[in-house]
Amino acid sequence: MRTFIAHLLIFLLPLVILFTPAFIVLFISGEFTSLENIGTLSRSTDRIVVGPAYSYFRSEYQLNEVSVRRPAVIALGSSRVGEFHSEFFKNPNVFYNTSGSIGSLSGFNDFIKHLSQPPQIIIAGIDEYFFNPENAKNNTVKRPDPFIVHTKIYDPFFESFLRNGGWWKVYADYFSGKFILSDIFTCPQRDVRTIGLLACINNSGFTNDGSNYDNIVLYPSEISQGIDAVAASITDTNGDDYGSNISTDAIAELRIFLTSAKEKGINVIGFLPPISHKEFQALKQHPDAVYSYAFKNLYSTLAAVFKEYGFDLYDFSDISSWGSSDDEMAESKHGSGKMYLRLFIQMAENNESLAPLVDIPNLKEKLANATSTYFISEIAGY
Amino acid sequence: MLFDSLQFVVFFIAIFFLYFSIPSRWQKWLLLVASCYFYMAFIPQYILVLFFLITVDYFLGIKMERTFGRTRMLYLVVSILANVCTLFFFKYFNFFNQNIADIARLIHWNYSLESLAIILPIGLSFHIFQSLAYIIEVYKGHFKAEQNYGTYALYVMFFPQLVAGPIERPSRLLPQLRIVHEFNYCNAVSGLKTMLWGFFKKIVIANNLALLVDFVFAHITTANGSVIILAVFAFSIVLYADFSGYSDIAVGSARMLGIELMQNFRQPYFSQTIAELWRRWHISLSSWFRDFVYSPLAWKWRERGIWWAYFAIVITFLLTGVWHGAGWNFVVMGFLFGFFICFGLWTKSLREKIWNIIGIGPRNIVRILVGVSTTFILTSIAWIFFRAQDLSEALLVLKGLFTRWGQDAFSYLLCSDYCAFYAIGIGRTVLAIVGISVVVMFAYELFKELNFALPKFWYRRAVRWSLYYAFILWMLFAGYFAPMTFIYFKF
Repeated sequence: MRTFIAHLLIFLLPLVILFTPAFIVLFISGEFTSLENIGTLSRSTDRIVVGPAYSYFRSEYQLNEVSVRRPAVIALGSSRVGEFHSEFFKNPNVFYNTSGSIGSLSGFNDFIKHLSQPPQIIIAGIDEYFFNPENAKNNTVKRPDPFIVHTKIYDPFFESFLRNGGWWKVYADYFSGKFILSDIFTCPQRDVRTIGLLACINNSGFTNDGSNYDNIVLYPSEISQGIDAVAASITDTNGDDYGSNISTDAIAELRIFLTSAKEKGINVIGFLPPISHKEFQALKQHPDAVYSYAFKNLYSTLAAVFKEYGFDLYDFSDISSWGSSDDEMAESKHGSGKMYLRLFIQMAENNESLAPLVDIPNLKEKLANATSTYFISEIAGY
Repeated sequence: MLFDSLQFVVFFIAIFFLYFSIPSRWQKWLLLVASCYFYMAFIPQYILVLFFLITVDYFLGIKMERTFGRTRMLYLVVSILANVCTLFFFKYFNFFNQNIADIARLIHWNYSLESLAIILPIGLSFHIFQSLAYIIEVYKGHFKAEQNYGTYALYVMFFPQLVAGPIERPSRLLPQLRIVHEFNYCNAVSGLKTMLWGFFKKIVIANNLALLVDFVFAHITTANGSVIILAVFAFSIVLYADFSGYSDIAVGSARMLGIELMQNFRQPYFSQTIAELWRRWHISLSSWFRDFVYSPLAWKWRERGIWWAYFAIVITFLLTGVWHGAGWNFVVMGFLFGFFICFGLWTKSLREKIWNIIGIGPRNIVRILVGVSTTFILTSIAWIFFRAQDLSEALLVLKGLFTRWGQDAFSYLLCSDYCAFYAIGIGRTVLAIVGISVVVMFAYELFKELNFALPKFWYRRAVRWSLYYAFILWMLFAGYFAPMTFIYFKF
């Protein structure tokens, strides 16, 4: 027995040596924090930012948060709804942002069908690419219900250390210079509590109300170069979102969501998210790069569908038409918090159900007083 | 408690060291307590069902041994009824009830018996078959009834094989449970290696490929025929990797404790006929049905001719199908296997003649490849009925195999970015990794099949350990570590 134990320990030693540093880094950075703990912290007064590097649990986490908090208003969509913040509302507790919880049109209906008490209002980010006719290839209309796939017990250790390869990726990231060890050890001392390696090293992720938190130092010139590069890549036959017309499958799937929302008494306020002005112009100039062709009819087609159900749809894709500019873009398809406040004010001014929940003059004042091109809040990252 | 969970790893390490540290007379009791804990980790109250059956069979076994004639037969019947009725209640009642309700609806009969809202106790079919094997062997006088209640309870409950077999025979397992087990270095190391191989099959191959199979089956009405074929073959591999992986972990963990369980798989996908496949697949179940169903029937009908022998085969496989699950899909699966075997036997001489005319002998590689591929394809078709939720889904899959071939076949594999498989976490890299792992698995199986001797350099510790490290890292690198239950746990 002793020989066996000795041999076993000797055999395991290299593995222990290999895994321990990775385990320590991920443990200290909060990568193994359970979803229950994250939920509890997010509902406390402590400000947190959640940014795991090697696991993705937004779908099940945010569904659970909405079930627990039962907010009156949620923002639902891809990462392009992430800049709606609870601060936009008179009572911040009425709002929760489920940004990034869905990746296809079917996700909208999948989300609400799992809620026993649905919200009164959904601000739905109707991303333009959902309606790309090439969606059979890109799978943007129907995907497996992410909230069923992930209702299995979530084990943060298994998920980030083993399943997603955190045990080796952490070395790869360290040796490629993505972080230094002192970053990790200073994380627990910050005012804003960081959970996860990305939150720890980049200070980015999502915060208490589910909205985006980006405290990375933004370099306007890099953003501008990125936008230029995307715009330049759009040609007649090689658009960023290639496709010649609006997908009928996508329209049918949208109707499923709107019907379901109507039945549940939810008011859906849809919007086409902002696209950088340069990219938008490039799309318009190439009628055969066809996403632009789709653009010409996209809003009117979708607005008619929304209207059938008594819902509003706003078109914010052309940012120059409503007073914003590329200076407020965080990258070619993601606006900044400031840009989203600007569009939110316009939404609230035109929507009867949203208006009573919002102090529009106060928001306008915030917008006017914003010192940063990107952020509107005193709190860094907003 | 799943074998591929951290909970089991901690549990097993604790039991292993305790087992060889405590006084030997307590070993059996430790295993019994551990087995109870293991079982109760699923649904605790069902242990009462298990102990009810253990108690009934234990006492009836002893009574049976002391009596003869009709009384002995009566004890056998009571014991079989207790086991079969329990199995029927938990596993088959709703199926029968539903079918009666369907027939009642057809003939306008007012039938309103509610279905039962119960969950099948885990591993029920396995431990009931193990109990039945005991009681029948005692009845036939092949085996003396166990006098020690604890030993008998452990025979039924021994945790490595409690929930998904192998279905042990009393003559093999009970004597091992009666003796004291000293620590054996070779057993411990061999057991560890077997467990590791089982974890590899489950975590790297079965778990990863199951995602792809589940995805295709969830989109069966829109998937391309080519993709469905891929998924059907993939499921055959998933099923084998999952179940044989479980069996390896069971055999390995028992071996570490000094107990040798029977081999449940013997490279089944190298079989050249379906009959051979069932001699190599889930051996503990197929031999159970052979000994307790097929042989008695074949013996009884031995003078009625070949068609009755075929009939015995079909009945045996219908029961094998129903053992797997309460549903018409399992009935069809069993029938298909029975039919394939009968058809194979019926055409055997004709096929032999054809091979002889072509001039290809039984050891010719072409003939072996044809046999192995045909068997694999037929088995995969039968497994469709195993994987499908019900008969209608199975028929949809079969229909799907022959449709939509023109629609951008294999686009799932070739597409980029937000591709369908990517949405569930399967990229082409993962598919490649799993592909390599499947090749490794079958290469190793081939190695065993052909009885290759290990090369001399293998016996150097540095070589062996390096390979073990590479293997473990590969498993950690490529494994899908989601808590996915073993397929056969539901039986």
